[in-house]
Amino acid sequence: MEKAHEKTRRHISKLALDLVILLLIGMVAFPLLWMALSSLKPSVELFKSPPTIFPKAPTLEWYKSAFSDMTVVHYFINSFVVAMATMLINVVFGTLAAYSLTKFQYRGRKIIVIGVLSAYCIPPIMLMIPLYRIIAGMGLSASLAGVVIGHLTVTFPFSVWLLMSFFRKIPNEITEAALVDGASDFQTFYKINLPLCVPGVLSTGILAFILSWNEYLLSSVLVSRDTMKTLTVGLANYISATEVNWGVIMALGTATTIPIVIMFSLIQKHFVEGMTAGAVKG
Amino acid sequence: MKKLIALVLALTMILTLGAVGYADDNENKLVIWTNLTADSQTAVLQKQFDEVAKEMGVEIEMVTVAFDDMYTKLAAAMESGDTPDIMHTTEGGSAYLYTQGLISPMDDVIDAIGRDDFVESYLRSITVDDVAWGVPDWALHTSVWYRKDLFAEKGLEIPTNWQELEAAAEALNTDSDGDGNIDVYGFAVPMAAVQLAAQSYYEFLFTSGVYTFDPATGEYNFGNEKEKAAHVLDYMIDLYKKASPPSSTEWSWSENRNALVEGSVAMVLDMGAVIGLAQTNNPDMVENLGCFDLPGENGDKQASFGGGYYFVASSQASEEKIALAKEFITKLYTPEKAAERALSRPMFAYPSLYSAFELYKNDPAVAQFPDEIDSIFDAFEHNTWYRYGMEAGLSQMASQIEATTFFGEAIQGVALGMQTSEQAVDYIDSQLQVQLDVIGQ
Amino acid sequence: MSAKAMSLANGRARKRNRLAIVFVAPAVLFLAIFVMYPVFYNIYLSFTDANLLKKNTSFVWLKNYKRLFSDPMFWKYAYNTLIWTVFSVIGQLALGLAIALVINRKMRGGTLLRSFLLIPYVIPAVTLALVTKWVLNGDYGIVSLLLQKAGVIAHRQSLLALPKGAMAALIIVNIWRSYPFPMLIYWAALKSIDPELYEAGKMDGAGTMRLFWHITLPLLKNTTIVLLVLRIIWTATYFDLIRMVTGGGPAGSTMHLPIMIYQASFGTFQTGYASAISVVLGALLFFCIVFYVKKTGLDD
Repeated sequence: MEKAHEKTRRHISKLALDLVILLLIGMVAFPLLWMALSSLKPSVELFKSPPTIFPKAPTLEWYKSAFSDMTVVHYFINSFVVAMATMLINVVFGTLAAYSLTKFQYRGRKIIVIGVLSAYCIPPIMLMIPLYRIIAGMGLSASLAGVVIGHLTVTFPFSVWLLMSFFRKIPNEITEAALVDGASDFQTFYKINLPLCVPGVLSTGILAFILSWNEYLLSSVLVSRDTMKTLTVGLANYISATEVNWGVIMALGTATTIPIVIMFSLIQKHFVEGMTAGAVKG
Repeated sequence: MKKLIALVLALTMILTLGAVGYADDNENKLVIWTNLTADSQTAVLQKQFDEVAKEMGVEIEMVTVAFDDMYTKLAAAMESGDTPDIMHTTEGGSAYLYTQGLISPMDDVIDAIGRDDFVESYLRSITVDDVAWGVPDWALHTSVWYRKDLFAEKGLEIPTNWQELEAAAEALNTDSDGDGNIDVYGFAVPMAAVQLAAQSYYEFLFTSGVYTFDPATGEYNFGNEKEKAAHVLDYMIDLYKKASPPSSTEWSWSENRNALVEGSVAMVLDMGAVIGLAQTNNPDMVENLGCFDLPGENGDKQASFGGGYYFVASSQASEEKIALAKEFITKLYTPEKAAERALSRPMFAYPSLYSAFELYKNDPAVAQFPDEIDSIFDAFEHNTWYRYGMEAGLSQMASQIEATTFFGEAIQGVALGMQTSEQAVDYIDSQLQVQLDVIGQ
Repeated sequence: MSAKAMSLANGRARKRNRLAIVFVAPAVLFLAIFVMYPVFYNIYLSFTDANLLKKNTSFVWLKNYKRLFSDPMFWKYAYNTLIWTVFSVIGQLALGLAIALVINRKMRGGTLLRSFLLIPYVIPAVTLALVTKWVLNGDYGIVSLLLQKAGVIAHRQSLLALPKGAMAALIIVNIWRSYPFPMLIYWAALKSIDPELYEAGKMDGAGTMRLFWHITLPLLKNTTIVLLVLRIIWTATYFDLIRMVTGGGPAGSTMHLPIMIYQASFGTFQTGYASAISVVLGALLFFCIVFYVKKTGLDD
């Protein structure tokens, strides 16, 4: 009797847990799914009240009309170029810095570490005005280089911090053994430590790509002409425009988001490792 | 691995350098910015620019800069000395460039085109101390666009004063399916914080003769008429409460126009863009639409809200280049070209040249609305339209009103019952004074 | 050690240092020029009348600050910032912890579920903003229609047109996009709790709730404090979502300090004044930053 009771109780709590999990999945999926579904609805269904859940007559017309516009293609190209440049610079210089900060002891190291962490804490809104002036003053406001610099201020400290946590996991004994074997310091870096860190470096790079792809505030200020607009800036103009074309917006929103979700799912295992290994210690 | 690192490094450098090298400079190339972003309009501009460029043997680059972020972009361009050679923009954009000393006087261009062919009020709005700083392209005018069929159905006459307007709006509120909710509202009062709140309010202010600056003396005037301004706001908010959809406090142009075109509102304040929208989205609706001027409180209307587009030329380039830009602009002003540009947004844009207006009127795209066109053009001819902050001619205040949201904040506050009209008007006055201080007027 | 060996070792150490410095130099240079210098430049600008409309700027000492503190709108927006921050942070930490507790159990598909629940972390703010505006559209938005049906809001009304509704909607959306970070950190912390502690508790006859209150929560205290500090910094300065969804409306009810900074600098072109606001916001968060850096950076 007692046992049966215990069993039903367990059953119920299992059921409740399943329900909670289902709810969580629904919570995460709903906005994204709704956007994707809306992007496939023709005008009649989009503005119908009450709305249809699934499009009755799915159509790709919004995607066609969005991408037939060269400006939109330019948004994608600009976002890609900026995110790519941001990623490469993060990977190369972030790796070098993180290696130096974890595997060497020198005067000033501590201050640099604190500087990196403080830089990570400085929100972009504080940098907006001065960066806008500095970059214009450098004559970079008409080129994407200015936007890349803006994105680096957001991504670079984070990348260094994350990469440090990957390098810290590599035991120092390996380095020392290599040094004893007569390897030079540079050799121990690129022949021993770097290969062990490749997954961490790659996922940091992809994360930097994602952060740059998503960045809005600094881009909106540093983009000085239409041909330079990145996706987020272009899309934000679409939704705040005095005339809103919802179908196209839903299509562009979906097209903007899908590559990011795919890239993230590729690296999320390493991301979780890096984050939980004390990248941002909790 | 060494090779890989070298490769990655090299790639980074190339990419960054490539991005840096993006900006180029060419003496024989004109960079033209336009704030127009609608496809139909930019297509016509691009076509005409290409034609003229070919004729003159110059290179051009057309850059569209959305109105929303025009000021930020201009400021950035200014800071880096990278302003366009020609800009196609509103009074606000022109005023900004004028204040910065970035544009050239255009009287020579206007004379070359033929000063007498320009409608006078178009020139007024771009002129400071008898110098014209731009060449007017076309202008728009706000009126009440309404459903003729619903007016007929309810036996309503065109309202001639505020009381009649409100009565008509209330009479038009309809619950067509009997569920206790209004399905068609009488009169939409759009109040989105960016532009819309200020533009709706100014349409009512102008009909009552309340101006930011005194048109005759140029003195700041709003602060002297706070009582009247509060009374006007009271009326507008009352109209909102009685006959406008509740969420219209957040409406921008698209919601406002869609509502009339899709049939959920019977009257809207608009610049005739509803016609173009109906022609593409709901052609059956076109014949039901007509317009009348927003009446004054006692039928004694003073003015209305409007605005336009202008071609301005940089003063920063070399003399040869400025001359090139001016020649380019002159060539854009054949009657055919001017009419074509206005017709790229029919019923919304009205050309600045009399000769172009004759062509415009007879175009099939607008031939359906002869009476509406005449009444709107009448307002242009009689000098009774202003853009906010421009009542006394070109002023930076227009861009300050456009780029800020304090009108919206104050007006929405009244609509949502958070403050009184008097408080809102006080706040608007104090903010306008801050802006006066900023622009040093 | 012989003298020769000693000098060899010294030489090697010098070389090592040289390499270390070459490696770290680009990073230091970049951070100095584009992060640290701008912070000081910002402070400098806040004492000037810098203006996008004027080419000359002059020093005005505390004028911007005086004007700011006597502006009633500043206090209103500061209050909005407080509401936005407090509810967003509490919400995301609570949701993050709750989900961490769920995914901390052993179950089939657990890893997959965890990955799935991390997705909001990388969703662009612009995507979120457009979905929010779409589902809350007063006429066609599915969420609006449901709320209208349920009688929560009037017919053809939208949450985004109501002062409290807009703030609530924004906070909920912000919690949606920011819970994954606390979730992950809490999950890591939960994993590191010694299971024997629970066993011991169970032996003493404690129920699940008691175990949670008396064992789990106290052990999460440090994690929570650090998370709290970090999330306060990020939330109080977070601009994108509010900017794109309401722009600070209706009637300024969602206007917070970052939007005010943006408005002052790129709306009315008063760079100096805008810098003063951002310095004040920065000063308020300075202690949070120092605390966080001390807590996280010093035991490196």
